Amino acid sequence: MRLLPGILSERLTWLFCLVSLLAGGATLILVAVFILREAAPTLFADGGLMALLFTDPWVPLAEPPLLGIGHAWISTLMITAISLGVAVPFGYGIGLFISDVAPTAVRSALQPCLDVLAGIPSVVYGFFGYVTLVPWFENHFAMATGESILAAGLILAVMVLPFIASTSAEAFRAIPGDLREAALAQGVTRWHAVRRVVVAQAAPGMFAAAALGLARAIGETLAVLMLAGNSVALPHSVLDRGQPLTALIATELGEAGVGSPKYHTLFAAAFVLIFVVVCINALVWAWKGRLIYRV
Amino acid sequence: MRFTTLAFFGFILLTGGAVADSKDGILRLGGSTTLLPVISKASSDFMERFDTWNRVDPSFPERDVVIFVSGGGSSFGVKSAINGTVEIGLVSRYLKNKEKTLLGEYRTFQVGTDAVAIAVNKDNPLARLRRGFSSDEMASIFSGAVRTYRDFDATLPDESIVLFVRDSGAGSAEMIQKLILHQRPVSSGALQLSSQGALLQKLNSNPRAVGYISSGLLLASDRLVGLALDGVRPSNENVINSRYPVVRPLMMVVKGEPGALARAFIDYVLGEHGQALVASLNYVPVGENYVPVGQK
Amino acid sequence: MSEAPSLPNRQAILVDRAFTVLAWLLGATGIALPGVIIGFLAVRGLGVIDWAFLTSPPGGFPLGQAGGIGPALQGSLALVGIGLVVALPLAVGGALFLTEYNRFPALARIVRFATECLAAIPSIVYGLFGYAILVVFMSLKISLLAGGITLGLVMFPLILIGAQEALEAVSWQDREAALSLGVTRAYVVRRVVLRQAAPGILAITTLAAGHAFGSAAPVLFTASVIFSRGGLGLETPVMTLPTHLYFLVGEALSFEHAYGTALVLVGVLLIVNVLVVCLKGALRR
Repeated sequence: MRLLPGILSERLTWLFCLVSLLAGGATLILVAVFILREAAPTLFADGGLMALLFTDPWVPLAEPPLLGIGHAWISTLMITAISLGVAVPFGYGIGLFISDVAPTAVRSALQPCLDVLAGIPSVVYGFFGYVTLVPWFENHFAMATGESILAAGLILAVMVLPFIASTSAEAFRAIPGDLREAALAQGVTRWHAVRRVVVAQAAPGMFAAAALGLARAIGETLAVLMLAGNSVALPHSVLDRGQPLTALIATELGEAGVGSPKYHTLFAAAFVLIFVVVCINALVWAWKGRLIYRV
Repeated sequence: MRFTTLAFFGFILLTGGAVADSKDGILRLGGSTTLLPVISKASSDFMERFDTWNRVDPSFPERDVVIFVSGGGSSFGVKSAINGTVEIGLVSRYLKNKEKTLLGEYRTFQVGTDAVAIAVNKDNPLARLRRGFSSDEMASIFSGAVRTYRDFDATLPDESIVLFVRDSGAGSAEMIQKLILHQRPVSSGALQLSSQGALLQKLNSNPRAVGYISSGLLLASDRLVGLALDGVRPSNENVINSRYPVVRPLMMVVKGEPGALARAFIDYVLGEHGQALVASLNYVPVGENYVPVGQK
Repeated sequence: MSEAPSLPNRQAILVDRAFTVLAWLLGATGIALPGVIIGFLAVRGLGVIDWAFLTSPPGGFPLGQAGGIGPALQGSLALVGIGLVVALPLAVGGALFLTEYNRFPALARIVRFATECLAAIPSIVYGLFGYAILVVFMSLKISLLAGGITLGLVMFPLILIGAQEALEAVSWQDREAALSLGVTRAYVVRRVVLRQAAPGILAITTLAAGHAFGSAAPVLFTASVIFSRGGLGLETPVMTLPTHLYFLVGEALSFEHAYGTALVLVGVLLIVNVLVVCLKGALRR
């Protein structure tokens, strides 16, 4: 059953696929160029970059408006550090559990649980943290208000955990069983074999897992918007409020008139985010040859 | 397998092809979160009462009445009106000169008036101290110059003051900045909330919190105390006679002249039912108690 | 190994036992966590959900305290539908090109790197981009179309990567066997490759759709509105389920309804996960 003569359908299919790829590629380039262009006035103004990142505070209602995002990237840093500090050890542990300790039945119960955890929307996590962690902090830590860097970091840790666990489990499982058995045949304990053989060989994969978690943590918006406190002061401790870069963009976007200095600053903040994510990805790719164990 | 594929593509087609004849007959409104509850309810009632536009007025087309309402803050409302993304912007402050220039020709319709009250929880130390403060004292608190209750008054506990404010696009934020804080910026430690409703919830639940809130919400709450400013309490009488220092108009802003459909809805809000809604939320309706826009 | 192997001593056995216990504890946490979260939401939210809740618009005064989430559910479904119309053909077509027609391995690597970067970009950046280009520059206003295209942008890299992997999993023997029978490349693609890869492609598409359904950041400024009663159209804004939850919490209107909304979101996610498992099961057959 032919709809079109062979050669014609052949060409059309090829053309369609090429056009799709080009469309996708063009969009990517458009996104990158557009964001860079709109961020340019802020990024390339003289002294602009220093003021943006380090010296200016965020006081948009001042005359002239001061639009420094120092408080924002420091908040991002702190929240990310907390979330990774909790999620990475947990994630590796679960990864090792999946690859070396769990019986098959438990493994097939755990994987869907991780998938569910990964799929819960960000706003639901924010809501969950808002009704559990925030009141808990207020009651038990005598905090003036429970929204804080710590609350956001902890919920973010739960959000990032399944990704780290799954990716590191994959890396651990890629180590062939022969290596493990060779070690065990020598008479060492399972932990010794895991530590000296599996983990040692899977180190690049573990790095990839952590990098994935890092990229996710940096990019989270709604959950941290609802939990970090949305305050423009520079946070000094984890119990302070903060406003990560993503929350800054979400809060101020509605108010920024197209073309205004604040508009360009928001694009600069977006550019910072993209830049960091691309760098993380590039680092992972640079090690890619060694990521998953190959014989 | 085949069923799943079919169901899948069927779903895409169904939702992707969802089109109503919505070219005309749509009104978009957005902006001030103070006006949001009133206007949402007004639009819901309006849509309930009039199915299609020709029931509002026989000269209108027979199209479904569809009205969309958003928040985002007064500045967002004005900018959207300027950009043309909404037909009617909701604003709860005076327009700035820059905005007036960008709007060009415009009309404003005042639908109510309220005050921006400084409010605290009933159990807040300040409330137990006294019920009235001067604008300078409030300025020192909101600018962060005074950080703990003890700094303010030696008899109060040594706890930090938690400030809840609206973000910089809000009408109330601008009014407080201009009339209370003058040149001093709001304390950087203040928590920015995205709506008046959020302010209400935070002040209701946190005894260490200090914030400003629309007087309408304050008067409806039994857990909040509105502090008097310079001896004047934020009551509706003090709004009507303009004695309270931070009084502001609640307005609908239209770029150019309002279209016929927009005009019909504006008239509805200015009419009996709309003003009853305004009053039921404890704002001052326009009418005999009219406080005209333009009074600075 | 550098040291002479020795039989495990007492200490090593203890450490090993500790490791095993710890690993089991972590595994148990992994299984318990989603249960705890969903259970918590269910306990408080299940009471609110009924047919009326799922279909009627928000009610009460202020709006949101009564009524339901009907328009929000509709809006979210419509947004994802439009996003899929945009993203699916482009992503599958692009993946096909890379696996079937591409002759430059360098191109495949560049595209893969770029796509992975795109997939990792924060969703609010897509929202920012969508607002600037679609809503303002192209004057689409805050509308279903603008939000749908933005969601399509979000889904595109995910589907591209997944489709590529599904297509590459089709064994080259099947391709060669078909070609050796004299059919055209396009025929092979249509009848052999796509047919085998379809479950995998659908699986990743479903996952991407589920992810887009629950994301608020891309649609917050491109499509969403706080209140509407229906009247779906391409140029109109829509309520969406995730933004509705965000507004309910922000305005503190009704925590009961917030629990219900959160539970519906999680429910959709669970359905998505079940669908994906079924599709992957079909893959193994």
